[in-house]
Amino acid sequence: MQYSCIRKLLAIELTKLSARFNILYLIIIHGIVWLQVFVAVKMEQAMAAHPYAAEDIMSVAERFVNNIAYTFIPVLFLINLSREFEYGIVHRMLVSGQTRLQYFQSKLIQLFLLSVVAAISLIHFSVSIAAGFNLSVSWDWGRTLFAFLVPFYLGSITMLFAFMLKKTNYAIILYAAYIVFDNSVSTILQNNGMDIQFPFTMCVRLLDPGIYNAWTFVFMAGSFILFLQLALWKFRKSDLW
Amino acid sequence: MTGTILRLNGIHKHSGHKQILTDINLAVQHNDILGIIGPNGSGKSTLIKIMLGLVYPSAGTVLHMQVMPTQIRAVLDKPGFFPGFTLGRNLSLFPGLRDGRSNNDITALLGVQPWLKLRFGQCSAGIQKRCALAAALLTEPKLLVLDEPTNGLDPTGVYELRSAIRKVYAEGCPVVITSHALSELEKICTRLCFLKQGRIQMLGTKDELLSRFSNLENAYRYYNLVKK
Repeated sequence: MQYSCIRKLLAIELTKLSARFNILYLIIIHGIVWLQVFVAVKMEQAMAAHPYAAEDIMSVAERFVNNIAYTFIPVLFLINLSREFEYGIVHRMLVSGQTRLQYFQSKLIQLFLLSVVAAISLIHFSVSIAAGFNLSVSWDWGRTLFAFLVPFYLGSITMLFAFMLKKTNYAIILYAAYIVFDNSVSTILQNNGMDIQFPFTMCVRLLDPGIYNAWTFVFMAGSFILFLQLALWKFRKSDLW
Repeated sequence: MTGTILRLNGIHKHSGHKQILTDINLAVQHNDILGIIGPNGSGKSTLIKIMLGLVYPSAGTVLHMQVMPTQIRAVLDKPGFFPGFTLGRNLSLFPGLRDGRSNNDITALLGVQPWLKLRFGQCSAGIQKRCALAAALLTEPKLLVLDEPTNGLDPTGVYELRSAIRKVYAEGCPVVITSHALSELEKICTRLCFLKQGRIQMLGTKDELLSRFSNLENAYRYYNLVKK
């Protein structure tokens, strides 16, 4: 894809993301999670036996930012995507000079931008709360990278669901059902001594040090590409009534 | 540029067990304003969407002969705009706009300029339709496809639409239009196609039709009510 084309798609996606619904959604979720982190840090600090450090704030922030990364960002992406089908934006884009592949690429750009928001959220929580408690500011780049990777990865699943169903309500229900299925099957397999994890459960455990290894990332990359290919195939083949 | 720019060969389309289109053979010529007429459920919108590549035919081929699929512009049943954005913002959203001709000319021609700062969701159906047409024209179409563009338009809107179509046609862009407004089609079309239950009943020039029937309404009655 040419640089000028990427720039154009980026400009379009940024305009779409600047919709009031997206801004409000992100501000409200960010505010709620920030409050959760603040209260948790306050409680932990009161009970901590050792002097509280900025790194501790990072780990608390990360625990809560998972909510954003696992659920809220993929769901926001899913809502944005399926709404475009409901409003006929996809149709208009395709009759305004975009190919199906370019439209798909523009959605990947939107997913990238939203995942960046999740990573920035983690940094913001750590920095602002550490500053509030008069601690030196520090953050872990590895964890920040995970906060970016997880919504980017799970977004590929929501993208597939949105392209399959093209209706916001149904797609959200399917994603919720998938999370329950993923968790249940992973738990059953684990109870039977098989350490096989499905994408969502794997992401939940990803931030636990020592749980992941090189194969985790190989599986993650492989399944990410598989989900994207399936989504692209579905989108290319489907009739847009 | 002359000749055929888009050809549909033996198009069939079914959805589940329902047959929507049967053996459609149709060519859009460079000097055409082709009107597609038919009762509700006759397959007009499906035919349009197949031309645009939004819906795939179950059998048959669509040949783009002098036009790339990405150069075809359209106004569809759904306007395809964000209801929370202003008209101006919606119009600036679509690919290719920045390379297009002066936005002001088009928005003035279609009379949408006074509403550019209004949210799309707050606009009437007529304004929304005009806005959709403006979006189609702003990107310099090589073929313009309009699916029932007069729906929801007031007489001024219909007049402005007609002017816009004539202007685009005069600039060398063929037009395909479906509508139930027979008198409008009679005024602007050069060729007409009658569809009934997914089959072409008649395809010919307007002059041929008018020499046989005194007006399109009589022709419509004949092809959709009388002819089996």
